[in-house]
Amino acid sequence: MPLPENMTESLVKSFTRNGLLDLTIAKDLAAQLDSGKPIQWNLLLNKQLELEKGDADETHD
Amino acid sequence: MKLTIEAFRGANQPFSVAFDPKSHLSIIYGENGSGKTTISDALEFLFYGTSGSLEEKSLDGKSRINALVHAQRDKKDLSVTWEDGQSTTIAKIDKTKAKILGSASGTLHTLSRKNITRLIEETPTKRFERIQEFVNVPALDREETEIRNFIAQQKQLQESQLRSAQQVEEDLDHLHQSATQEDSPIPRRDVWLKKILGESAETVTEYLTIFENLHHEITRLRDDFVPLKNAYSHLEKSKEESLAAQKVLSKLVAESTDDFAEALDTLEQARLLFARTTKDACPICDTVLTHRELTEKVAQKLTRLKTLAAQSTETKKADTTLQQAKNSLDTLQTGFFSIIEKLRQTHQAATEEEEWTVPALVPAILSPLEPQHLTAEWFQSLVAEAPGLKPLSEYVENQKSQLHRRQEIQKQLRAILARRKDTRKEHAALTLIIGKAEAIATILRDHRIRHANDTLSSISEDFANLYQTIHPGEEIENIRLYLHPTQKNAARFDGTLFGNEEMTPVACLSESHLDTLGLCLFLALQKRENPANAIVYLDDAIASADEAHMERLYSLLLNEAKHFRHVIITSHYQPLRFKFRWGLLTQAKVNFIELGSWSLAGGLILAKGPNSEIAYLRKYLAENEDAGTIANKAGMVLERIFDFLTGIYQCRLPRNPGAEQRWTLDHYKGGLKSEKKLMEALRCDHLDQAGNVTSSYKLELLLEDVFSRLQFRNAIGCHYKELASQFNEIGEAVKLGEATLALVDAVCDANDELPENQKDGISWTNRGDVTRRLYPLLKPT
Repeated sequence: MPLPENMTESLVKSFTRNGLLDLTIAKDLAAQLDSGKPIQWNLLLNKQLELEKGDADETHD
Repeated sequence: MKLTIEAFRGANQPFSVAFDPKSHLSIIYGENGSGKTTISDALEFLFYGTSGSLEEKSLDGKSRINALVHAQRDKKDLSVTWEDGQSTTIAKIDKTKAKILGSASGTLHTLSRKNITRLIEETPTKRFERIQEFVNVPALDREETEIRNFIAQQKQLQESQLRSAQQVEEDLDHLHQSATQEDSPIPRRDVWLKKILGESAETVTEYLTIFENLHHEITRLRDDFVPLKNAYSHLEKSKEESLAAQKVLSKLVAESTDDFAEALDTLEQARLLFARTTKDACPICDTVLTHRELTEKVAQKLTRLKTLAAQSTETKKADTTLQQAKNSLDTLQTGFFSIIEKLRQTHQAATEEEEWTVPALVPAILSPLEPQHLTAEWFQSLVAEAPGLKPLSEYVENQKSQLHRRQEIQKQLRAILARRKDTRKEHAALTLIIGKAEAIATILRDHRIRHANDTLSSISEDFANLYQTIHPGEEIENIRLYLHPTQKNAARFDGTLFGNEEMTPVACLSESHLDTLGLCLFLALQKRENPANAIVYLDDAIASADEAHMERLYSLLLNEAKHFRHVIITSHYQPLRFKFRWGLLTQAKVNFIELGSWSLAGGLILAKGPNSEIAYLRKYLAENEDAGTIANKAGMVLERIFDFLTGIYQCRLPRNPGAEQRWTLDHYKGGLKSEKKLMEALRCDHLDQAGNVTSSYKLELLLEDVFSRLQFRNAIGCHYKELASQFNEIGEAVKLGEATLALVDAVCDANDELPENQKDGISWTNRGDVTRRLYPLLKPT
């Protein structure tokens, strides 16, 4: 059962607020919720962490 | 649309009920136990494969689906068939599950009174369960649960990490205590840490290598000491043995110098003798020698020569041994010198480090410059100085041991610190993940609640309007259903009631108000979800409404039914039946279905007119056997006729028929007798085929006769059985039966059908050829 109208956009907006999630990850997450696919939370959050770590390393370099 | 059921719950024989698709509302009337819920269960079984009303009942562990089978039938006989004009769907039981052949189009939503009450009265959580299909976003709900589970797991992991971190600190303390227990004063942990970490592992390894080498050379020196000592002894012994052999050989040679010439002569003589003559005389000097003497002489010479040869061999052997001893000693000396050199080098390397005070080597180790200097005398000096090497050996052992321990401590410390670093890193990552997961969970929850509240809010106006239709002018405002902001899956219900914002409907509304409130909520929710495709089944859902509210409620249902594919209402409320049966509430087209009395063998049946009951009454009267049977059947026939008369003339009947929601014969009697003008005017003419009146019956007399016998019917039927002994039971029953049949014969046609038509606008007539005319058409005023 897909998400109600406009909820996908609203979710992406909330997920990306204050750097909570990267836009790509947030969009993927909303798309998975819309399709009803189970979310692998561990993978998703670790991916986000890796991205943040990569960014931090680049800044450090 | 037609439903046919067989061997299903109360339905034994095949039972069909049709719902007119042109009409959006069907009303199924039936007394308790007539099979209304069986129909609802059959529809749920067919649409969803569930056991309907049995779903929430305890069957002591028995299969609910199998419990749907009629008590006297086999489950293979069970079938539910739904024909909706386009397709046919059949549901049967396969083992313990429903087996649906085909797919019924549309959806079915059933609501029983029990559930409608729960919709309002239950706890917020239970209430949410009942409305969740309308307000839930399954993916959000599921993933919110999943991420909260994930958070719980991560927190457990974090707790485990904290324990690991504590363990790391304990290990560090333990190592510190263990490593510094002999220090005085014991350094603080941080100072000790700094010191240990200040030493590079490479330096310790380098120091250890120096002492390992020293230890190695000392060990080699010790190992080769005895072989060298033995080599010196062996050489000495070999020399002595060689000299002794030489001496013996020299002596033998000296002793044999003269004898050699003589021996040669002897041998020459023997040769000539043996070659030239056979005489026993010397061929040279003509000395007569006997052959025997010459033989003895040769033997003597040979013995002496053999001894000499043996000693010569012995001497050579001694020389060889001596040479081997020399070679062996040379090898050992070379090796030993190499050890000494290495020992001196490694000792030098150790003494160059200021940190250590390495005991000195002895002169015997320091003096030799080449292997040849390692003479037996030198060895003796080494033997004498050997105790002087003991301090060095002990020092090396001690340093080596200490360095090994330092190396081990460094290794353990670095491992512990690496663990501490990893733990801190993981803790930081977990904290970040948990924080993000909690934020995501909050977002999911907020969106879920917002969507639910938006949904509930969007129906609130419709909900309120529906409620106001039934309860106009009541001071109930802002009734709202909303999700609890923090409690998961809890639907709260409140509003401003009678000007008080704190009131809850459950506390201040009557049971019937709560019923209608729940029904309105149900309808408003159903209207959001593709209602044109939905069949709504309200199973005895509004039994508590009084007559005035009931009329408004049914008027509302008639109005709302058009939104749905079909609305089916079941009720056992007799006034409702009365109003629908006699057309008092049928402003719109309503499909009215009446269920007859259920029996185990017969199962569900549709109610028929009085004709079948009348036939039985005639039969029982003819048999004239059982008073109770006759009285009961007469009562049923009278109930039909009284119901008909009070219905078409709108006689006054009690607003509330009582606990059983069913008017009694006395109620009808009261209703008819209170209409004096009607009673006087009641007349039924019998007509022939040409339409001529053949006879005319004043019904008042017949009715009074029946009324006068009703008390006997009650006594005989069941209510006051003890009274039965006061009169002739069978006689009174027969009289009641005969009075009933007299009324039947006056009012009903040849088929025992009542005159239910009013099309001619003059009187009530029977169907088909008009043979009965009942007057008046309307109740006289």
